[in-house]
Amino acid sequence: MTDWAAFSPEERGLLNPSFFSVILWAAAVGHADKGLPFELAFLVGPVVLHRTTRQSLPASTTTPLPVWLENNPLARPRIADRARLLIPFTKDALMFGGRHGIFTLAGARILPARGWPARVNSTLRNCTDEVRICAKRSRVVGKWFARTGDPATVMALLGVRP
Amino acid sequence: MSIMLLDIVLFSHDGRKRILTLRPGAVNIITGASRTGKSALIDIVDYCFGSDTCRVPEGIIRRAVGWFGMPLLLPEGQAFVARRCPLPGALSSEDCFVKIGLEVAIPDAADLSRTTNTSGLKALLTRVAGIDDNLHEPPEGQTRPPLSATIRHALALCFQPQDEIIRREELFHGASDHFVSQSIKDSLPYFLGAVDTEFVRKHELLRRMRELLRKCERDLREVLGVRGDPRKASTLLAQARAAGLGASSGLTSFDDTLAALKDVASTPLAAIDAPLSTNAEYAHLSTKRAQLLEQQRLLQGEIAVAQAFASDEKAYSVEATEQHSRLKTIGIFEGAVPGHTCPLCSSELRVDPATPSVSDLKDTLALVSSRLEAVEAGAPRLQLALGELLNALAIVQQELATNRAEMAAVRSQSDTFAEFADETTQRAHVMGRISLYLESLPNVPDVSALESEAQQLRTQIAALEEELSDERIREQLTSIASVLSQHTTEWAKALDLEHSGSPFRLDFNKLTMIADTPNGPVPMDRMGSGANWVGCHLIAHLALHQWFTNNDRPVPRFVFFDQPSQIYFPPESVIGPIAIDSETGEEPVEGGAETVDEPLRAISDNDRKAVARMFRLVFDVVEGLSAHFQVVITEHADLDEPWYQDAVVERWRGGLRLVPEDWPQAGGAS
Repeated sequence: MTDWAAFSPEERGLLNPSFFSVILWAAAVGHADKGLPFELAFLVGPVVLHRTTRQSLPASTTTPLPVWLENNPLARPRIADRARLLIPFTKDALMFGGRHGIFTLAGARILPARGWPARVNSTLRNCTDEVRICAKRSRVVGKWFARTGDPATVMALLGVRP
Repeated sequence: MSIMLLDIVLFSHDGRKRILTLRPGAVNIITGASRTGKSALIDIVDYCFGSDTCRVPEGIIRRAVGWFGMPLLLPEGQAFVARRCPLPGALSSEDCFVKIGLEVAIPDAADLSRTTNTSGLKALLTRVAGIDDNLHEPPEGQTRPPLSATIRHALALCFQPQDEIIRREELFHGASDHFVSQSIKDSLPYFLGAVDTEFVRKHELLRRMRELLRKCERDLREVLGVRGDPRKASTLLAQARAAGLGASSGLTSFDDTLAALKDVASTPLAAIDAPLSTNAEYAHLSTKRAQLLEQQRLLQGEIAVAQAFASDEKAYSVEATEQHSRLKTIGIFEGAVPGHTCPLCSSELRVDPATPSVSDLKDTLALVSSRLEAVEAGAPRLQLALGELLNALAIVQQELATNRAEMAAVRSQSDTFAEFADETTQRAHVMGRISLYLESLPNVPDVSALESEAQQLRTQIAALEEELSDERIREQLTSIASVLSQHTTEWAKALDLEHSGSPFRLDFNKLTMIADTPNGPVPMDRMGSGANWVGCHLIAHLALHQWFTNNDRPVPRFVFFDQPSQIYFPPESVIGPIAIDSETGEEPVEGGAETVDEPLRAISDNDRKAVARMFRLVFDVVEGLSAHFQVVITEHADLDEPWYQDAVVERWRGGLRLVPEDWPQAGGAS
């Protein structure tokens, strides 16, 4: 697994597995439809956690992914680049979340567990705006990925290889 | 490699699929009776590639089909694009579906949903076709905007519907519309590769350089403008002399005058206080003033440092607050007992010290919290200290003001000072004007540097303009046309077209074929007989696509010919429904060699040979491109030759047609 001690304090704080697994949980909730595909979990972080990219996301899922990519040509290389860098953090988040039961990993998909929304929301209320915005956006992104089609198409559109 | 078609798929309203399998890299022939839907195929493909409106004719196809789809073969992998058939009464639909992968299976009707709109579809297809950044700027004086070629422009070169393939006036699809033909002319240089691949980048560079040159020339003009008036400098020098500033006279050159002015400007004004230097009170006040100024300077320095520190701390605390907030999410997992099995593979997990547990995260949270508190605790003390410094500064500034007033009082009481003051004021006035004049001179009096920079820019710009010039592009186009004409001439002979002894070439300006006969150039619209026109259409498109394929240009690697043999047949009403068995009155079963050739029996031997030659040419060209180019021919004729029959992918006779008859139709039965 990854070495917690090797990360810088900022990385540990900002990308800690508890926060990140909540983000993944939100994406899985948004995706619905049999759960978030495993490969797409690695694309949630790069899209949601970077402020510029997050702010350029469309307000709702009516804008299709290919059209958004056309209008934001810088987004594709950014996302692809960051996806690679965030792999260890995503893995940690998956393990952490899976072990603590906020979601289950079954058949290459991530299924949000029941009974967590109340707990999540009450804790998030005490957090900064940015944390709440990340969680909300993550949900929209999950839904967006579901609308665009199968994982291979989403990855091909974003220019990412597994 | 660009795009080739794998199949054409129609989805019914009730979940059925009709798959028309095509072979990439080969000739595909669809032959059939009239009104079976042959000619609609071009419109279907056009629609799936993002046309504005659906030009599939009203009728059974529009009513019975829910979605049109096409699996595509891409340079890397495959894609499936689909678009909903417009609802009754609508001209088009924005519901498009896209799927990409290494291998894409044809989805079921139930899987089709809107995943993008038409512009997203077009953007995607433009990208996978290999069309990258390109730009065509119209020549000076023309009003149309610059054109960026897209997949829609490339497709104009891939379709030849039945009414256009026999046209004498136009060679290309849609070219009877002036705007379309203009955009074909504008985008052809890019598609042919006559335009430098770095065109867009160089164009940008040229634009920036032109701006730099303009700025350089502006600066030059300014400098020369100022220089051009040496009188002002001399006038000022004279005034300086009058005020007693001891400047030299009789200088002629501008640079000397300038140097003298600079000397004058640097004369110190300290002499002002001379008569008062013996006044003890005044001396005392002066010293105090110097001290106060020094104190002020020190205080301002300290305040700047303190403020910088405060803003750093603020930044840190914003960062740390965010970290703190994210770590607080551990509260969600409070009380949840972590499992000991790996959530992915259910194997037993040993406690791994490297991965963070809940308690690790809580420790980190505590650490960040305490650091935040330290910063926040420190902040008020810092603010206090800063406040004290600001107070001290205010006091010093007040004392300075008092001191100034006292010194002014002393001055006003002294008569000698008043006299002296006038003269000094005058001198100070002149010096002020001189220094303003000197400041207003541009900082780079060295014109030669500017001039050489301008010259350098001009040469570079000229070179770039030459590279991007219309001239260069026209040269390239001429060269390409010449290469293409080798093939078109040879093929014109193979098809035995009129004038086939002479060279045949494509004219990219007039968008037509021209035969250079001994009696002068003969364009297609001055050639006689439909056979020649169809022949020109065929050889033109084959030559172009052969070029595109061999030079890896971003044009889809397919072309549709719709009924090229029509000019050899009498109108259908004379023949009647083709291939009806005269005895039984039924349409005979397909496959019999006899009935297969039926329509061709009705035409003369010469004509039949001409038809065979036409098809043979298409086959030869496709073979020569070793499976990288695909042709789809929809035909009425059904040639009884083995190479032709092998290429037939669908035969629509005896009730078989594009849309099965038992498909439910929207908007009531037909």
